[in-house]
Amino acid sequence: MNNRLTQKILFLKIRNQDPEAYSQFYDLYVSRIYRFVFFKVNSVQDAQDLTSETFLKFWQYIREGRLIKNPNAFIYMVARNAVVDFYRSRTRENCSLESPEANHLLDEKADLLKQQIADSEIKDLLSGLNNLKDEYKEIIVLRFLDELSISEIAAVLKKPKGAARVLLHRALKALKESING
Amino acid sequence: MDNSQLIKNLKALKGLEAAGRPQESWVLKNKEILRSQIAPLCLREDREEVFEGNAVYYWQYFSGIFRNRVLKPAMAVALVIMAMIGYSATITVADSSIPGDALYSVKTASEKVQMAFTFSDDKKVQLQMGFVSRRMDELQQVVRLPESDQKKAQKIATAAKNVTSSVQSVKDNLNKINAAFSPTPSAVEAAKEVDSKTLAIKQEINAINQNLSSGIKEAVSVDINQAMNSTDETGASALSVIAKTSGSGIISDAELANLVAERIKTTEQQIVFVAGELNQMAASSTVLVATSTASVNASSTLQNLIAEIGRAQQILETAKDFLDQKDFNSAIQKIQESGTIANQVKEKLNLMIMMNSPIIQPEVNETSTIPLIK
Repeated sequence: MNNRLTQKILFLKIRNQDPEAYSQFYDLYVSRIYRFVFFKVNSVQDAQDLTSETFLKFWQYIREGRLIKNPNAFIYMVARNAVVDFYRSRTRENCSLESPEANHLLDEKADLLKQQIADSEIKDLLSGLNNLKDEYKEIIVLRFLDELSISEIAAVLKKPKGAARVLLHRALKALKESING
Repeated sequence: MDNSQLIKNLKALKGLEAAGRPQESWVLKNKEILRSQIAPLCLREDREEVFEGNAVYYWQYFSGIFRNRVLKPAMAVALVIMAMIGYSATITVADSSIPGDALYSVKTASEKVQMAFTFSDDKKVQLQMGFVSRRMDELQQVVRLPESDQKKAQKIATAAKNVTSSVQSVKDNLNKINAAFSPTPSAVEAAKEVDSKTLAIKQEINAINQNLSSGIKEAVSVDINQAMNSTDETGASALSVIAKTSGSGIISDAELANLVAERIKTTEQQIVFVAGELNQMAASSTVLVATSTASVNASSTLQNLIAEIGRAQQILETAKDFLDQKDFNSAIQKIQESGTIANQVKEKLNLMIMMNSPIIQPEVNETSTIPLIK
């Protein structure tokens, strides 16, 4: 049985509020959603909280009977909104990414890099990726790490397909420039 | 680093915790928390039944595919077919409409569409001649309508105006063909068709006019006359197109001579008809009494008209001479000239009748002193 069909059947089961199916769905998506969120918040703790929140919210939408045409893209949209709400609440607390706390988070990340990355090329890449502006970083993660199609990316970003393609092209160019210094 | 290497390295990031790989322990722990969070929601009474086995879901999946990929396109095709049937049915019904009907605008719109998709001038001429025939049918239908004289007169006037307008369109395209360096054989064929049809149309309009009641005839005389004039002019334009190819082998001199002769004959019939009306009017008018200034003026006008129609006849004689010399272009020019004078005389005569000039009061049955054309 092909993956596409399996996935479709899984979505139909989820739509019918099957908790077992949702567990399988979680297994399929948790790494991707966590990574997507992690690149946005640069904090393990926040990424874990927001990922949990995303999966719970998604289930609530299912319970409300909301029509979800493309669950693959929809879960990313839920995660994206959760991140937006997260930053909004932090702004209210006079805290932003540019704040000392954010720098602390980046320092924390730098430590992690020291521990885990031996390959300097990968290190440069990760550093370059973190230096990109948010929308470039987001589209690169969606396309090359989470392997979403252009249509799915367009749905997540709420942009036309052409605009998503252009954005991806610019993001790759910016990443190359960032790596090459 | 090239693009493919960059993408390869990006994909390699997936396995790194620093690049967002979640800790296994957290994944498992979070899954348990999530299950415990969603469990109470699943226990709610309004929760739908969870189907055991996959058969129901396969059915949902394939019926969804059937609905989206087969049923919806089939519905779209069916709607397009229904729209096309509806359109052609409307056009068919509209084809039998006459001026004043609700669907008449659909009829004219469909003709405009046909014209928009016709590109060569000769094809346009043939198509427009078809539309002229339709306008004539409409005129015939309007004349037969069982309505009051006033309403009928209005509709006849509109139908006659439509004939004039469509015939003039034919003339415009013929002039375009005539302006070309040398008309093509297909253009000459189209012109021949116009030539014969305009002769028939003019006779038809004349017959319609003769059968109208005097009240209606008076009311629509200007429009009917204009339709006849335009038909004449268009016929002459068609003949000019044909004459332009004289000697090129597209049409023989004998055939061309016959066409010109036919046109001379029709113009002559028109002159005789107008002259007859003038004579009749002169014979039955009060002009002989000549007791007032108005009647003297009317007499003078009538004399002028008779002189004019005489001039038209003389010009037509010149056309005959040109035809004998096989100077077709000059002959056609003279026919046109003669026809125009005859039409002008007819128009003035109609105007006199409409203005209820004393001359048209048929009171005295004495012989006119004005020389009559025989």
